[in-house]
Amino acid sequence: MSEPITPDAADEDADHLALEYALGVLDEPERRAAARRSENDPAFATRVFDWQMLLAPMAAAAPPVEPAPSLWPRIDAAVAAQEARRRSIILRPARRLWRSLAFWRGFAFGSMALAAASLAAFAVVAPRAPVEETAMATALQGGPAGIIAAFNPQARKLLIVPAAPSASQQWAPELWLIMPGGTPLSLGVVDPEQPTEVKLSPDLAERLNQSPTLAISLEPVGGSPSGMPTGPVIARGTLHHL
Amino acid sequence: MDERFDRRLLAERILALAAGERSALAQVYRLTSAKLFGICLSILRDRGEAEEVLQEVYLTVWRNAGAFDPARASPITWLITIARNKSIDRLRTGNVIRRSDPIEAAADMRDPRRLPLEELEAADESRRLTACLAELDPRHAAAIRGAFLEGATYEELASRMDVPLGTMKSWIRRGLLKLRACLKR
Repeated sequence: MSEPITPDAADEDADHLALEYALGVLDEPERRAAARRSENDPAFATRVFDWQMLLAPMAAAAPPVEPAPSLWPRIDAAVAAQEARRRSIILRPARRLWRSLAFWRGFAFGSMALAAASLAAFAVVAPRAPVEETAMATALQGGPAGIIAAFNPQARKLLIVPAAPSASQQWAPELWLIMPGGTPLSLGVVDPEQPTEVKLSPDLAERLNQSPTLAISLEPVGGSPSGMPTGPVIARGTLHHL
Repeated sequence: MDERFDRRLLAERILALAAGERSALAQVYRLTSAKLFGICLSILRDRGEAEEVLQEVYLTVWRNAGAFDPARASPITWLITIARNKSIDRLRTGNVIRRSDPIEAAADMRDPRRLPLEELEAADESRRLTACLAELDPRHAAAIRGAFLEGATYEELASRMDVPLGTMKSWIRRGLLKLRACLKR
């Protein structure tokens, strides 16, 4: 007979996992699972953070070593390139438009009309869009639904805009993030009729740089019961830098 | 250099970075790169790999400076955590070939100059941690050090110290819980 899981036992397990993740003794799959939990479970993330803070002074034992002098210019150039890319898409200040749902819906329709290649479509529409702070975007396609996803790294917000609003009483569209070679991570249920903003954790926001796939599946109202996609995928696309 | 002044300067520079002052990154780099490179190198044991990871570390610092909260973490602790995380991620996913043992790699390239960051490290915290580590079973302390400084997994530590995996897990867990209790005293 298995023992019932008491809150204390669950607490202890979480504490063990947090210390193992913070110390770094987990192997790759376990580490990835712990990272995912840390992104989705703030209480667990706090435990990890506390262990990291406790352990960090041990780094005094690692002797400082000067990196090659050529490294700083490389880093500086990489930062400048990213900044320039961000600047090049500032076409006009349109902060208010960014928040305008009606505009976003029109924008989504516009770009879906160009449909064919998601990124090409976006590139054509982008010069007229309030992309001041949008660094990555994609048009999710593949089914009856058309959906635009745009990511603002400063605010760590992913904006999901349905092009053709269609609500259902039985199904809810659930958004998934799939890192290259990874398993789907739920970003929650999105509104089928209106733009949904998803605020990402710093870790997760940073990982978007690896051009993950975004996908939407139809799940029972309230979201997938298993934590993994169970219904049909109605749209998918790969997030690209603009 | 006054330790408190340096610590405050570094925190202030990270906050400036968060506010969009890109030039602050050069100062953060100057103050911390030798320390963080030493950490990357002790885990990755390969200069090329460690430099690639160090580049990622500072790009992350630049992008995520807004996540730094001076009320929750000292600036150097925050940076050390990023450097260790990135190094261990690379070690687990990148098929890194470790070319030499950690002592050699570090000794070869140690910088003889006095580095400002040594003053930045909270010397008190480090001393307390060392004292508490000394209270642990020496094998537990050795395993914890190996994990922290070299990024070793449970399995690697178990085989290195020739004990079953379960024993190693229990050493690390018991050791760290005791360490935390000692630091709270």
